[in-house]
Amino acid sequence: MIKILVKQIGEYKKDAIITPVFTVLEVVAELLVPYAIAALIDQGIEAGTCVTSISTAASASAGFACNLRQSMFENIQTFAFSNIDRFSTAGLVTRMTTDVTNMQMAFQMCLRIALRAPLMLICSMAMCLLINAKLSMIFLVAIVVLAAATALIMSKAMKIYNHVFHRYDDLNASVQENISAIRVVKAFVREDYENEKFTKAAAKLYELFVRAEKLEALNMPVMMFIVYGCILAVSWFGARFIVAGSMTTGSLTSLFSYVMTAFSSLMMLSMVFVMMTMSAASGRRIAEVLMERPGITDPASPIDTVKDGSIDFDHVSFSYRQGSGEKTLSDIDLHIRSGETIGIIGGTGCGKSSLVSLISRLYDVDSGSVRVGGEDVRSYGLEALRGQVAVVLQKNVLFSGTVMDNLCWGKAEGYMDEYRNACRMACADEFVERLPEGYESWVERGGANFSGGQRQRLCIARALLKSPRVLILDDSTSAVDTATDTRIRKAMQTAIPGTTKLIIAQRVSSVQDADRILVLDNGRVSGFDTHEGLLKTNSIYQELYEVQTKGGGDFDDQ
Amino acid sequence: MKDLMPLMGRVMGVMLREYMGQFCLVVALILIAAFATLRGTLFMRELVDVYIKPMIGVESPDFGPLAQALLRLALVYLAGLLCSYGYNLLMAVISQGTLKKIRIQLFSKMESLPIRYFDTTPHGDIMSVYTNDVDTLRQLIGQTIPQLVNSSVTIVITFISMVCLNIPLTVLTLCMVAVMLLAASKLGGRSSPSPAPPSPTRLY
Repeated sequence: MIKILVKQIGEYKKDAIITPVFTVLEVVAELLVPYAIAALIDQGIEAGTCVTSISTAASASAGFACNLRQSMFENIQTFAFSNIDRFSTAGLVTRMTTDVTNMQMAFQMCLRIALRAPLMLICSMAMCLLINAKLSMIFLVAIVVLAAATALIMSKAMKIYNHVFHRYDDLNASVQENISAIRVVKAFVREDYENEKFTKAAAKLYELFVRAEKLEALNMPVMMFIVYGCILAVSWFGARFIVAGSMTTGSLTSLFSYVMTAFSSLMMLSMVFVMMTMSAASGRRIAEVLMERPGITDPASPIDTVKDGSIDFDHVSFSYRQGSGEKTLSDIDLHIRSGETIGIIGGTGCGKSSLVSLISRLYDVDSGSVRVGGEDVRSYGLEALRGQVAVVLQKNVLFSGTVMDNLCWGKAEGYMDEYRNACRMACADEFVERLPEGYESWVERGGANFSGGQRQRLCIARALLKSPRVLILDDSTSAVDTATDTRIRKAMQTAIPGTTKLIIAQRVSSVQDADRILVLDNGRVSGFDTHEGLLKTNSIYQELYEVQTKGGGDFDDQ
Repeated sequence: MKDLMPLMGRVMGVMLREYMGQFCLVVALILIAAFATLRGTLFMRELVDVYIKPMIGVESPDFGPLAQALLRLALVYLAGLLCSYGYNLLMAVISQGTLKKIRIQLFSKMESLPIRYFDTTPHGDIMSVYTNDVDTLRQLIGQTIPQLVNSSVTIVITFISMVCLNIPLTVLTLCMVAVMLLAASKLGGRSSPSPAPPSPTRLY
């Protein structure tokens, strides 16, 4: 763990090394002061090195924090969904903020004090021994006791701190949830409920923190107890030695001043320990993120072109938690030819979205294999695969920027004609071109200033711009009226005949003119045939059709 | 720098509203602890002059007065020690309690804000209020404030003893302090430029 963290010091190594050097100079200067008569000169040296070591320490630690954040972010970007599920988004946020700040503070302290304090301690102990070896034995005993006590307290506090950061995650999760889902909270008037939930999380954090800090508060009196005990003992025995003539009053006084120096550095050291216990928990959490290997990686020699749009599922089983036994998909065996239009239908939770997420390798299969263009998806480079398999998700995300920026996201450069074309196919042109600023109109965060249907259509256009081999529409026209829905499908059939199109839908009408329709039921294939075929043979499909056409299951259809 | 004082006042306000009694107790305990430390320092001077010197060369030295004085000092030390433990305990409760209060206030305030606020404020900014900014406050309340009280007590005591000892030298020292403060405010001002840092997660 430490090795990984140390690596992150990176280019700030120079500062990190210089700091201790300056610190050593500083200590030397400081310890010379009592000896040197020309105190002014020494003071000058001391002030100089002190300022330099503070500023190099600050630069090194800020740089360290920056590096930590950057490499964490870079590593997170490579994470597969399974990795992110493991850490939780809020957990990652805490790790990038609070934990890094803790590390930064601790690192800065360490650089400055962790070397300085022991050095001061050793030097002043040496001076003590020089002055009077017998008396100095008292300190040696004291220091051993102190070290033991500190270690005990710290190890206990450490355990609590580990819990503290878990609570931090909970708290941040609550905040994050509320920020991103504020509309829902407001719509259901659940502010009070959420407040209560947050209050509980905050109270729990408070409890743990108080427990940890109370433990640490014990550190101070223990230390003071020992220091004061030493002073008293030195006073008593020192007086005896002086009276007996084996020591002078002058050496007693300088002994005291060295003892005080030794103990003040001890105190600083214990402060460093407090910081270290806190940062050890943080450091471990950061190292976890840095060490986490993405669950999905490129193969050693990736294929970078997808030959065609054929998709094959060979006895695929999949579960979100490997080894849990709960299969989300079991024994799926499908073969889709390039250019086909496939409808996928089935009740909620039957595995429709899971099925398609395997195609773009958002998750890996448990057993069996998924092939696109005749090759296993695991043999492609992720970029190549995902560039050729465009997915329009159920939940559409637009980013703040212009409409154009959002469209560009799918493809780096393009011509106006291409944008217009894609938008026309997705039936997005009708509202985009009516906007006062057209393609340069501003999109708010999350696309808040567009309606659900408009957002969906923009996302479809974005996916079309990639000119993919496989296009997956995961219930992406749910907020679009039936007439437009039909127009989008018609446009795609004629404009991109070579692209394999998978359309997940709730409405039978959205898929009935597809080449073939896949009916999923509880993670298994229930039927895979044309509309007419299924109507004759598949009971689930018959039922869906009956309900939706006769009962007018969707008022759009009436 | 200019709006630092009202800001500090506000944080202190939240703290004092909830923990007025405890905070007063903390100040009192810090005072006692500081006096105990001072007493210890003064004793060092007395030790040689009052107790040891008279005994040097005496045939059968009487260690009784010294033992008594050390015992008294031990009691003072013990009191100081207990006080400092006490205020550390109290500070743990006060600082974490204040933070809890601030967090809850922040959250319920956030919940009451209109959706427009969430649309126009980067979510990262809101998040970082809870994470970075509250953490910084933890430092302020947990460490800076007790240090402030502690240091002010020490300054006052030191100043009084300085005035008692030598007035011209005291004046000279005050001048040097003024120079130091000037330098510190210049340096401190440089580390926080007046426009707020642009990045949502700011280093400090």
